[in-house]
Amino acid sequence: MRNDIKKIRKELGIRQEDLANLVGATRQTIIAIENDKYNPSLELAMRLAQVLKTPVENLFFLE
Amino acid sequence: MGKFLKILSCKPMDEMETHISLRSKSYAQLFTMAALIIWVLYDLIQAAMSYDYEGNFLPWLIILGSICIEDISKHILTKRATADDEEYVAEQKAKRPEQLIAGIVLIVLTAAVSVFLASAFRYLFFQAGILK
Repeated sequence: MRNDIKKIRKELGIRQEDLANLVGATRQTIIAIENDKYNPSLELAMRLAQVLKTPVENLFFLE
Repeated sequence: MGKFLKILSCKPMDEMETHISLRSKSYAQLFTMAALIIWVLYDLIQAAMSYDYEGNFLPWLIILGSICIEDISKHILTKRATADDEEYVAEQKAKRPEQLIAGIVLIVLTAAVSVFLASAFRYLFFQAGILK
């Protein structure tokens, strides 16, 4: 699974640390998700979508 | 609890940390099981080489205990997760006798393999002249 979190986060001007705090995760988790090293749970994916104001299907997509 | 951990600046793990921690624990468990199996084999050889040595049941008990705890907790957690689904519960009820038979067969097979290995080692040592 791939994602556009890094691109959308940069467009919104949010730092990794701030995004991590907003979704209740650690910065390492955000880094791993952005680099496609870890697939988040549905709950975390929906929280990310909420914070980044993007539908979850536009944030994550199957290869 | 969360507030208490925050005061101690010791945050609870998030989902990726939990995932990594579980994977690390599974590697540690693999190492422990391998070490216990080596211990059991070493003990079987020791028992086969000597008529006086009665053998050590401790590694066996630890392996069996570990497997039992893993299986029981897996069973309980699956049962809790599927408790509200009538279709699945009915299917599992029908499978119960088969699972019981499979469990008994597994225990008998394990005991048979242990006895066979001990006898085989004893025979080999006898043939090699180590055991008189």
